[in-house]
Amino acid sequence: MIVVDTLAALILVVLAWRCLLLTDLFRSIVLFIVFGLLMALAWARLDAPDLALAEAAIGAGLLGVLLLGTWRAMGSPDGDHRQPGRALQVIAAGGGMVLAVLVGIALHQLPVSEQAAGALALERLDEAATQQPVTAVLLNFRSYDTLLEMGVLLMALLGTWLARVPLMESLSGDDASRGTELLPVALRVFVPVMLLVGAYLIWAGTHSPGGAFQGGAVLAAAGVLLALAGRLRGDTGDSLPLRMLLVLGLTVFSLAGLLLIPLQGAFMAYPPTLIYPVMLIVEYSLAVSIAITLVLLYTGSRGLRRGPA
Amino acid sequence: MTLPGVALLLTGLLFYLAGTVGLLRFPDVYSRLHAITKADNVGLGLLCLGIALLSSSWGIAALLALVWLLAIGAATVGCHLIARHSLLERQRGRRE
Repeated sequence: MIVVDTLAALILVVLAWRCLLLTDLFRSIVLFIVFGLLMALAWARLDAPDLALAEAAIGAGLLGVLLLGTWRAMGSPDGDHRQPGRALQVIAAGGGMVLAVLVGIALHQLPVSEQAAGALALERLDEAATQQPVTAVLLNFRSYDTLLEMGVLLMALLGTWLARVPLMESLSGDDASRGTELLPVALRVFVPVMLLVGAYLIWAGTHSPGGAFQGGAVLAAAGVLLALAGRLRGDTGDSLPLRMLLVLGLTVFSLAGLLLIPLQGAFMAYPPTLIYPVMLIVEYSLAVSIAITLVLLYTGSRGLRRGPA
Repeated sequence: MTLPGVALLLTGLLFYLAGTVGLLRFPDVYSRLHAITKADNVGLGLLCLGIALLSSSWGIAALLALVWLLAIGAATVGCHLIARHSLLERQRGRRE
């Protein structure tokens, strides 16, 4: 297997290199998607199926769709895609390499503590009510990180709303999806299956690979599929229910942390008997918010409405 | 079950190789789609069958069958949409 792993690592580096250096934006995006898929394979080889799932669903799938959507909305980007000057390239590459070397040296000189956080977390896995180390770390031991990540996702959507609204009109529907008999049948088969898989992944996150981000990404993929087929449209109008769903994850997560303070005496410390139900509720709320945020990132709109069937 | 399983895996890989060569060498969209969808669907089927034999578990075999069916469905719809888009573009090009 060492040969396959080395080959995969080499291809990853070459792909990243080509992806950065290509002047054709479309090819860069396609290479980026391939890079994401190979990265997912690398995570799987490193025994991190959670990360592999997230990388494949978000890194390769949704990010690829977002990039392609932006590319299409930009019209012909190759015309004004100018190559920076040679000197600038050398300075940027040289600066990056110096920084990488310095960071490497700094990391190398860092004293390795016996009480590494990872070892501590693995030791106390029993207290987390979940046997899945990655979920335990993300939701129980590193709740703050996950909470802040949700905040970052929301900020990204707000940024998109500010930046992308003028582009929204050009993204409505593709003529290839109109008037074909096959697409409605495919939607009827695939969308329910995707919703089922997404819901399962969120639940599975409590005991095996999966979780809110992975499941939410699959739910979002179903939404993007519907949007691509014209069944879901971006809407300029604000809708209160949609906004509430957008902040549902953040709200439920913070509330669960705050309301249970009297029981354990600390923010986001859950009593052992309540961990499992609280985690399940929090995970599903997070996933709903993640899915809706990702779909809105794709449509670039403030609201959603049903398209013509 | 190991020998037939491995034999199926290797045959599946051959189909993938043929499909990829077709994708790279064929001249236009339609023949490329023809190569990659047909060859890859059979290749994936053989891989699934091989893995099912190697795992010797009915549960895993059923899951793999489901995966194969869904992949075939997705490939069919994707192929249809790409071919349709290409045809519409060409017709539009002629009209102009």
